[in-house]
Amino acid sequence: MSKTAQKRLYKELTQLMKDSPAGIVAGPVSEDNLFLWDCLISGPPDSPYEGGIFNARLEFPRDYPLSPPKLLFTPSLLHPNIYPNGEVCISILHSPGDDPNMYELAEERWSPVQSVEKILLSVMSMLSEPNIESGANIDACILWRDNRAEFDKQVKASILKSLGF
Amino acid sequence: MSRKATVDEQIGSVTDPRDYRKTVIPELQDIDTLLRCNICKGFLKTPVLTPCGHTFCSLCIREYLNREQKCPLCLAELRESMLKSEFLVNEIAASYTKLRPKLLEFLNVEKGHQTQPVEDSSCMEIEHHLASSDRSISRINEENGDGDDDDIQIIETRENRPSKRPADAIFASAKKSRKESPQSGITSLFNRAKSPALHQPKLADCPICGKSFPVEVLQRTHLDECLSKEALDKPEDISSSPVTVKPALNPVSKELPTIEQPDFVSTTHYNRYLESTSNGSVTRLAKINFSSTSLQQLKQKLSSLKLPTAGSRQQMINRYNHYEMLWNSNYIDSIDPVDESELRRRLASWESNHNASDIPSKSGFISKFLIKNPMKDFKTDRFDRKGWAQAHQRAFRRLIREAKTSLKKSKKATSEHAGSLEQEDSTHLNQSVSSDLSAVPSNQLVARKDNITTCSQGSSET
Repeated sequence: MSKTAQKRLYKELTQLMKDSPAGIVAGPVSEDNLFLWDCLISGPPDSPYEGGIFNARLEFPRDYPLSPPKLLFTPSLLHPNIYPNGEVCISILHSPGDDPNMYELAEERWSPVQSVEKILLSVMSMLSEPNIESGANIDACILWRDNRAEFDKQVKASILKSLGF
Repeated sequence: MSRKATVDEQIGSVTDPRDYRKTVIPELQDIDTLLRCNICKGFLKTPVLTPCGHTFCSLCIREYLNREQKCPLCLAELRESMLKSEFLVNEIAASYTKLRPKLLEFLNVEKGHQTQPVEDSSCMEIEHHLASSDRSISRINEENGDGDDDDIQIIETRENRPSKRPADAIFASAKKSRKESPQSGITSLFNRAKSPALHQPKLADCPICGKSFPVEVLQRTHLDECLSKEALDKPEDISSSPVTVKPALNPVSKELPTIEQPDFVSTTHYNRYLESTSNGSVTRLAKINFSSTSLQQLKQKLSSLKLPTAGSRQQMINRYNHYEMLWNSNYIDSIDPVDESELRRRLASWESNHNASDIPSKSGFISKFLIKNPMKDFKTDRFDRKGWAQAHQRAFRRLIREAKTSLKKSKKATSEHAGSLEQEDSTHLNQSVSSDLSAVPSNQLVARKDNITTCSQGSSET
């Protein structure tokens, strides 16, 4: 089972290395362990996150691709759909049987035909369009809805901080 | 170490549809993608068709259906019994997989030399032969008339060598494709690609008259002359039956049939398809409702299939489930099923793989249970609480016992040294933890700890 997972991860890796979508870099942390990846995601233009570069960690289960990987931003960032501990909460990362919130459509969730590339693209679109219906960080949700200027300001500040300014 | 080796092996074998991007026909990546299973991303192996019209590897989809009874692509309802095998796709994928490296190499080389004018093909083949003049066989058999020329000895004797030079591979693929589909369009395409050899600026002997010339000169003028003379001398129609002509020409021909035969036989995927029949003699293994099956019945079932009955109940259930999958995939879906002993061997290797996974040391049923149950969150419905309790029964009992004894001791401690109570208590706690540690291999414990942390995180988040 883990052999299948390794093979598939290799394939996805070679594919990503050949042409990864703009603004995304991803690969295993070390060659010994294919089940842990580091990703760099650049903030999409025309969003508060523009100009930022965010580091995230992908953790694949042993039975990947039957189960989805987990995505964790390190460090975490202020976003309605990212838990304070950095874990990303989007439907593509939830397997169909596992719906703690009972609102996600089955067709938006994980299935083995999805891929790392699709996950990272979904994360990009999540950054440009937060979904406050399914908030993971309630404070961020409220801030985003009620005081967008302050939200943008806080995000900008954290981006500058992360870039060392 | 051995794991590392297999990983390296896999790096080498990873193929990707985008390999075609840099070739002359980038559109081929579409076909390449279509012939892959969407679950494992490898080429379809024993493909099966769902009622919703999608195709996956038999084992991939069966494994997925064990947890989610839906088509991974369109999410339509799907049961294992609805799967139908696709012999045709199986043969297409198999034959394509075999052809792919040659095709790719061929198209890749061609791109770099696209501008090279197409020349008389026989000339190029000889040229090509000259470029690789380290070959032991120097005899060339060429003919000119209809452009369907061949250099059979070289092709046939080199084709199965493990370390092929690229040029050899190109040559071989040209030869092979001609054998399979003797259409002039494809032939000319392949012939055209032989031009790269021309670019190597070196001297070469003319095989006909034996004199040395720069390659360029040989190809453009000299060979033409030599050849037309030669062709007039011995016109032979090799293309009509290369196998029969070759022995007459080649001194090492005795070996040839044996070398060529297996290759020839294995490439006839069409015949295999024509001969394919669904296997009616072996019946499908049924799924078992384990909750209403006693341990005794389970063991009986396993031993009737000649499977080992060792391990925990959960282990036996996993074993049966996986074997059932292998069995049905093999006897129901496969175009040429292997026998039971091979299935048992696969099961055994799966089990050892499954247990070892990424954790270096030997691991027992707990880690196996963890791997089998990716739903690490206690909060979800699909978390197998009963299985968890069973798997950890021993550890739980031990913890209870430890807690009881430490409680007694701490009571004593309160009465005797009320002051040092806290310290005492913590040592007991440490003791109980460490004894638990020794009882369970450390890697499992780590896994368990992870599990517990994820679980507590999960609950704190929601």
